Amino acid sequence: MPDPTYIAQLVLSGLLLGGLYALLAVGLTLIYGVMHFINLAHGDFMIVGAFVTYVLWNALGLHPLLILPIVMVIGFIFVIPIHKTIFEPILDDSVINQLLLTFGLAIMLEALLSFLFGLNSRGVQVEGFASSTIEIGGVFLPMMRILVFVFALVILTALYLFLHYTHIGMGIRATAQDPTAAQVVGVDIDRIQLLVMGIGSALAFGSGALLATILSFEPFSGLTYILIAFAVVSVGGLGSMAGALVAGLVLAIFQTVSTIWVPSSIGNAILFLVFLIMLLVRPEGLFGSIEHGRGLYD
Amino acid sequence: MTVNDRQDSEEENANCQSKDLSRRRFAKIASVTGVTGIAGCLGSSSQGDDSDTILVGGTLGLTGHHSGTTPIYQAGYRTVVKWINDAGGIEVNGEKKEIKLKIYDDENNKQRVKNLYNRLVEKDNADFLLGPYSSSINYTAAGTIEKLGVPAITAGAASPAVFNEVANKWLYSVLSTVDKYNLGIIDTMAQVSPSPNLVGGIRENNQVNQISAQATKEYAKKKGVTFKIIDTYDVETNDLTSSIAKAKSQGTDFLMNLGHLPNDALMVNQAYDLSDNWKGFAVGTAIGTSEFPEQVGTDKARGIIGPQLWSPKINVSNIDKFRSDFKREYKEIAGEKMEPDYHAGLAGVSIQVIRDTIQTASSLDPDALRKTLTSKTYSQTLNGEFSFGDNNVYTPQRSYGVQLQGEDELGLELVAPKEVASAKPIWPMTQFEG
Repeated sequence: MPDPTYIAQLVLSGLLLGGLYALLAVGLTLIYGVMHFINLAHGDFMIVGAFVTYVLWNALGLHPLLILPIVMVIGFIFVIPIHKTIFEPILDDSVINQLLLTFGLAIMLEALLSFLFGLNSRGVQVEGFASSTIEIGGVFLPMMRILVFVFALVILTALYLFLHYTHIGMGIRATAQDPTAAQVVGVDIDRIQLLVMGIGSALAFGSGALLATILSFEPFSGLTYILIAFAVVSVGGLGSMAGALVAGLVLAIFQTVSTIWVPSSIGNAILFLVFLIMLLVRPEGLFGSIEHGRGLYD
Repeated sequence: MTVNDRQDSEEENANCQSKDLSRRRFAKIASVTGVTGIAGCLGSSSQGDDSDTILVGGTLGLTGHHSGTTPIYQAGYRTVVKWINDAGGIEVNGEKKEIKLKIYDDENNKQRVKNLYNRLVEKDNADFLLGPYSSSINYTAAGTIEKLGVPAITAGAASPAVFNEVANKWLYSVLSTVDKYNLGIIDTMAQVSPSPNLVGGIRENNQVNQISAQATKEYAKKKGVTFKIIDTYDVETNDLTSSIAKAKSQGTDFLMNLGHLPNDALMVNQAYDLSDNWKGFAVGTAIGTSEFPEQVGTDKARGIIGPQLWSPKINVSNIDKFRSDFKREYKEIAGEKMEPDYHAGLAGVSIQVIRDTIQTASSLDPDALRKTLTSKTYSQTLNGEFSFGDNNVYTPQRSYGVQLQGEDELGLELVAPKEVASAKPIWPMTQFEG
């Protein structure tokens, strides 16, 4: 039986990482929930966000957490021309077309990042309080990971409140439920779609900003994260925000705790094994997918 | 495009594409070494016994994945070529001939490396060859070199497979194979007091580090050091939390990474976050790079141990002069801040081997040179005395333990084996002294 402290270390490390997974996946699921659009470049949006954070941190010398809102605004603006020129024309196309086009976009972003920044791993160093570590009964928790988890939860809570308690949020949820009916009652669908794409991109950029403070990244890291985001969204239930949160936490804990028995080199494989089992056993996900009458508007 | 133009262009490419590793360092070395590269391309492309120069040619991935390391080799070659030429050159049949160095950029590309070695021998008439950098590129180059039948020295092939499977006649190595790579770290652990309870290794999941881990385990057993591979991780990982937590849970107090720079730095940074109960850390190839202390910070890097296959601080009297001259002249070529690491030192050894082989054979005939390579004991080298064993790799193979020591500016001190050490290991690392 493994040492309880060791298990607690892995569970808590996984939990803290799970906040980041959830934040990334919620952006993906929000876009899918409202538009039924799958953006394979979502992981690369996250990495672009990490690089933007890296550049601003170098240029401004500000604490990366203070840069976070700026990065999210940049993320929102970043996707507008992409949505107008690339995404919008294929919103009603087949899923294959969406996948191919967004995959092409992902490759383009990776090439651009490697051209601009080279292939070296990057990271943003935090100092002072944020670089400290808390020890609880032999379990060491880096303060920055705790802060990343807290910030992820704060952003997700703000998003939940926005979707449920604002006029625009209700418009988004109405569009997710029934776009035609929403249009009939006066919701500007095109505007809502642009807004949702912007929010999704801002969430990806935000998760990139948080990622940059605790883990290293490089231009080609996006693929790993889009796969993780897909696993989280599928396990949680396509289009379900609550599902993405729970699945993000559960999968990250699963990923870290599994290394008690298997080498870390196959930790990701374990995560995708859970994903495959879930697809076979409960294809609608933990919280049911939007096709099954549940999801974003829960 | 002329050879000169091509060399210019390759140097330019090298400068442009190396920014992912160490742009400034690369630019500094490449700009100076480029002069010789260009100079090496001047004059007749025809060589042979009747020429007044000896053409030594090779390839390096001056652009591409290894562009941060290859200029170090080039500067190492240049340093010793300059020594030899300043001393009048190499004596062949009673006549002194200078060395002309020609290095092509293979772009770390296997097809290109084949073409370039063919060109070096068939068009440029190279008298002696230098191997490329990295085991996989050497593996490819070895196949071509064996067919061409011109002697070659490599300082960039660590995989035993190159010599066990391909190179058996014409390619010789002055670099220890990867199974010797971490022995210097174990030597260090065998001499420190108090001994570590458990040297816990985490390693990249690839064949090279698998071979290295197995050899390290066997050597540790022989030396009475408790060593265990705790975990393997994906080379492309960006999180070693689970591996480190596993190592900690099994009682590791000396944590060792068998891998490369990004993961070496990652392990150190995350290990500091997950425990304050370590005695120390060892890293892999990162130890000799200037990027490593930059990535983890001077305070965290101080006291970290690592392996080196050559060191300018080897405390052996008969190489004292070589060592000090090499260090001084290497800095003139590569830049004042550049300390020659094992890549540079062994590049220099390659040229010394070529010099001694030609002088002993007193001929540029490939068969005569090969015969000398297989029989001669080389003593006047930066790496002391050695000869080439049955597998064409130098013997006895060496590995050293080094440690980053110093206050504001860290330098590599050679700490093991004791007989050749330049300093005592600082142990435990001062950061963990309670």
